[in-house]
Amino acid sequence: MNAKDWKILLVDDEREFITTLAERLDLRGIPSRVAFDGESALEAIAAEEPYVVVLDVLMPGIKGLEVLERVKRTNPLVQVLLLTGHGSTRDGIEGMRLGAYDYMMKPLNIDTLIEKMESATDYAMKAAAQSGKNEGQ
Amino acid sequence: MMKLTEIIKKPFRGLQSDVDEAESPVRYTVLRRKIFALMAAATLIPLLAMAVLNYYEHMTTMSREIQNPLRVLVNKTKNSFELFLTERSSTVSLIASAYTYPELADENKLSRIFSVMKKEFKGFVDLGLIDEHGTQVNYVGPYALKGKNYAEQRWFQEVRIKGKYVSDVFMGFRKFPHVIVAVQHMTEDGRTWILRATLDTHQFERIIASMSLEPDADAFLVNTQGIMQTSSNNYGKVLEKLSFALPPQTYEPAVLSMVDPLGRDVYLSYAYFPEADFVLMAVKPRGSLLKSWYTVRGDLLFIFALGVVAVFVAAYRVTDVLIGRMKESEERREMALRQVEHSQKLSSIGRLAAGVAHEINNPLAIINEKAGLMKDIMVRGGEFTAKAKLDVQVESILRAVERCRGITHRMLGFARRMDVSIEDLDVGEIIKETAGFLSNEAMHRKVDVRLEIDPDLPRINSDRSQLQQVFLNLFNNALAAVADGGRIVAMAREVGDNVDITVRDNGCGMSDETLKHIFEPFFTTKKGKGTGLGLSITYGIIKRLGGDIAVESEQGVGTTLTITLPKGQREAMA
Amino acid sequence: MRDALFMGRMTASATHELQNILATIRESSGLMEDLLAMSSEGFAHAERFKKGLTVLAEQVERGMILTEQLNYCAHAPEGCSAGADVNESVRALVGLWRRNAARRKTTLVLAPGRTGLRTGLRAVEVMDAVAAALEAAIETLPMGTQLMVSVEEQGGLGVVRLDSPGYEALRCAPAWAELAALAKTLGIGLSGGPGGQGVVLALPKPVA
Repeated sequence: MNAKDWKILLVDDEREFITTLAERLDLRGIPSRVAFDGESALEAIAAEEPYVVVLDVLMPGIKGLEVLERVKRTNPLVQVLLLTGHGSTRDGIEGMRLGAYDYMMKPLNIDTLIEKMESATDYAMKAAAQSGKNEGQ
Repeated sequence: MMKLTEIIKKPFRGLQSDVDEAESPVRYTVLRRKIFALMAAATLIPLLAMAVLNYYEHMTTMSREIQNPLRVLVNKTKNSFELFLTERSSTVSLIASAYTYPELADENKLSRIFSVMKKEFKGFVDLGLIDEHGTQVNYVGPYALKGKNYAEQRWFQEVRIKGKYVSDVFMGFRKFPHVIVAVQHMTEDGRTWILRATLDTHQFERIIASMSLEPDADAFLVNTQGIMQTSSNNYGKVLEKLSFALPPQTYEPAVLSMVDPLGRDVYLSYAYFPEADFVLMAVKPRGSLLKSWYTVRGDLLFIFALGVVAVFVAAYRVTDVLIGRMKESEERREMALRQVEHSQKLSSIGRLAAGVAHEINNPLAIINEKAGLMKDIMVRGGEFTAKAKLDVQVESILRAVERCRGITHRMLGFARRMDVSIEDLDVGEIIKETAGFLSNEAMHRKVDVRLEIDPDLPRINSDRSQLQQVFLNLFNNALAAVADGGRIVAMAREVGDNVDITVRDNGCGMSDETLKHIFEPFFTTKKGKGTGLGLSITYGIIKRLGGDIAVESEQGVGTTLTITLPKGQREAMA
Repeated sequence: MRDALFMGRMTASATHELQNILATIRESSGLMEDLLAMSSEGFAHAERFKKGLTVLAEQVERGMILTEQLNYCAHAPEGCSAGADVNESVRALVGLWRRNAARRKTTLVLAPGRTGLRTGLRAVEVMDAVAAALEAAIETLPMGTQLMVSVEEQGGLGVVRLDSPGYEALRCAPAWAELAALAKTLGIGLSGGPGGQGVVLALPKPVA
């Protein structure tokens, strides 16, 4: 699976964090888009249908969990990896209940993140293929 | 008896229930009224009783005090009368026995005797000698009564029988009130004669005057037929009929309280004479006598009224203070309660602090990414002079961030300890749900996750989200341990008073060395990997929920973690 | 209360440790800057690095501020015989609250008062009360406004004043009940600000 095709969207209001993360992913050959708040994230998701969205839970305006809920309603095939502050298991669990693929705590270990992204992308691609097949039939 | 105790208890019971229930302003008014009434009653009833007792006691004492001098006066005066009469009759008796009949019959002699008598004893008007036939044989006095025969008169008959006679007051021939004293003398040869003296009742008036009565008072002599023997101011002139009925006979001076014919409230003090047909009476209107009593009574009433006012004022003030204290203490209690509530809630500051603790992750995450990026750049970039040195610093920063992660983790651990919320739970359902979170990854890695949950598993009292966290940790650890295509089995069943949950994997297992340290804080075999909190946290949570955790592992075979949870919530260790 | 104090102590020690670590990061990034300045020849990404180091320094500062705030919170439940410093308490709270306010796109501006102004309350109590007032104000204010919090001295009393919204509107806010209850418990006087705008919290004097 070529990492160039992963179609990742990174969402966090911490610009410095998310752009640096994007830069690091880029160095590893993983292209990604960034969004700095819930509203533009939803727009980007609607426009580009990424496979995986890495989403921060705590954001001003539309909160991460709300974005997750909406995404799961509008684009159920999009897999969401939640970012929570370290120790905020509750948010993570709540996210899982709402249909997140997995959750991770900040600060991140980039290798773990990439592993999860890969796993989620794989899942999303298969799910897309499945639903495409179903539609085709 | 029952009723009395009930009545006594009732107001207090009322007070108590009032304190416990009801809402403030109305309750305090009712309470105030009750306390006030109770206090006023408690003080006024004895005060009133005392006042009434005092009144009567005082009144009896006062009337005794008034009556006694009256009685004494009457007694003294009666004695004076008796003395007067005894003296006079003794004198006449003495003369009768000291002189012979011829001597008394001698006009000159009798005249001389009479003049001596008159000189020695005031009140004698005349003196006469009467023979046994009733004829006055000799007479000395202002009237020409010699030769007058008394044989038919009552006093004559009486003196013949009794030997001595004191008459009532009468007018007789003399036309002024007088009393007769007659003594019969008997000689050895059987001859009898009577010596008869007339006494002027003016002496009676003098004796009465010596009582020195107040102008509105009255004293007089009356005979047993109710005929006035001396003049009275209010009840008839001499020899007139007494204007009220005679009191019962007593020789001891007595006092009666009555209403006289003039309509006045009076004390009547009187005594009958044992030797004569007289009753001495003294009448005093009560009004004048009781004047001092009235002033005393007025004083008493005034003091009582003053006492009542004082009681009311005191009761009011005490009630005020009492209610004030009550209000105050209740307010203080309420305040203390609210303060406890406040500190228990740990307030918004606790929440804010937790928020800050979370937020610290943000700069740390950025530092982490920046340092990571630098590392990435250096790894990918070419060689340059300071590379090695920069490398050391970047590594140092990344290690520092890792340490910070541990600290925030620990810090949020304390915060979590603060909010365990116990509810009635279905453990099986929580396990299923938690396993569901990981189904994506499990499916992706073709890991076989099997749940064997006893359908009759009892519900337990525990904290839902804490348990969820525990299970998530266990599943995560198991997932991390197994290879793709591995197997994880979770079982839940009832064992005695507990529910046992076992998570078994066929993963890599752990060395004995690892097993030893597995519950130590921050111990991990997969550095920085995974989302789960360490087993030490899991251990802490389970202990807090009153349960236990055990681990068995063999390298290359797999690991089994068993959690024991009490069905009911036990008091957790701190 | 014992729990709060215990938690405070634990948190205080943790924040102390965090500050030490952040300081070492600062040192590391400072050293890296020096190294780049002295010998960056042959390093193509020197500029990119320098930029990165600036961000690092900024984030260390941010972390420092947060840990300081947290540290203040950790000590806030402790009583102090001289009473709590009003400025410090309010500053700490406003710092903590910025993020809450940002969610409603409201900016908090702090106008500190005379230094050394004290109250008989504990710091945590001052913070609680002001937090409740802020809560009520934020609920009432429209999104994207500015809210001024000033510390003043009125008749010897330490006073915290919010400049908006209207006092009457504030009293209708759902969070007002909590503020009123707190004020009653803590002995804080509540009144409208000048012109009926905002609310004034008159804090009780220190006991001594």
